[in-house]
Amino acid sequence: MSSEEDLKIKNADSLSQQRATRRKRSKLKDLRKQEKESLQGASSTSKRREVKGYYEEQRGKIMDVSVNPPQSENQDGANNDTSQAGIDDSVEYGSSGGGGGDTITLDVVLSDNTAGQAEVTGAFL
Amino acid sequence: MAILRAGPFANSTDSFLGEPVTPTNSSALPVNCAMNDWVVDSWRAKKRILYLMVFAQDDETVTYEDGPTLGASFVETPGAFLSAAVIEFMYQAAEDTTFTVTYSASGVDPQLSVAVGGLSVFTDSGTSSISGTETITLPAAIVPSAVNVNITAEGENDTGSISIAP
Repeated sequence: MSSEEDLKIKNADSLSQQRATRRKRSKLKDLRKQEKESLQGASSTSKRREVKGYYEEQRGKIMDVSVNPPQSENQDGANNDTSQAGIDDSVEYGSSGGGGGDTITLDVVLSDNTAGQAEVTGAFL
Repeated sequence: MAILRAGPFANSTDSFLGEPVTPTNSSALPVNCAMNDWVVDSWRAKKRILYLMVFAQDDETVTYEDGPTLGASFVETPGAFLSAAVIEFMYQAAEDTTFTVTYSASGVDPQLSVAVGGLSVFTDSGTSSISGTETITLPAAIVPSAVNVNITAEGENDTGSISIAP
C-alpha cells in the first residue's frame, strides 16, 4: 500500500471516529439536559437517587457502545488539535459523570444564601 | 462563593453530626441554609418547652420542627415556678441575613433573650409583661453558628410565646 493510500485510509478512519465522537457527545448532552429536567421534577431524595441512577446507567450504555478512544489516530493524523482530539472527550466524560469515576452530590449554601447542589466526579479512595 | 453544607446536626465542637436519637439529652442542633430550606431537606429548629415545678418532676418537651416560620409558647401551669419556651438552631450563611422575633409574655419578671454565636444580641424584660418585634441579624458564617431565642416567666400564672420568621 502506498503512503498516499495509507494516509487516505487514516484520514477516513479519523473522520469516522470524529463523527462517532460528535454523536456520542450530542447524546450525552441530551441526556444531561433530560436528567436536569427530571431532577427538578423529583420531589424526594429517593426519587432523585432513582433519576440519577437511571441516567448514570444510560450514560454508561453510550460509553460502552461508542467509546473507543481515537486518541492515537487523532494525535497522529492531521486532526490533532485539542478541539478534535481525545482530550476534549475526557473532559466531557468527567463532567457528565460517566466512566471517569463516581459522582457525588453535595449540598451547598450559595452566595445569595439559597441552597444549591454541587456535583463532584472523581475517584474516591 | 458557595459554602459546603455541614451537619445535618452540629454542636459547638463538631460540625458534622447525625440527628440525635433522642433530642432531649443532646446539645446538637439542626444546621440550616441561612433562613432557607436545603434542596432536599426542610429548615428545622429545636423547640423546647420547659416547666420547672416546685414539688413535682420538671416537665420538658423537646422536638425538632420545620420552619423557618415557627412558634413556641408556654401556658399557665399549676405548680410551676418558672416556665420557658426556647427555639434553637444553627445556620450557615454566605452573607449576612436577618430574621424577626415576635414575642409576648406575662407573669412575674418575664424576660426574652436572643443569642447568636454564643453572644447576647437582644434582651427585653419587665416586671409583669413584655411584648414586641425585633429584627435579628445573622452574620455570614461558614462554620455553623448557633441561635438561641428564649422567653421565660416566673410563677404559675404566666404565659409566654415567641415566634420567628425570615
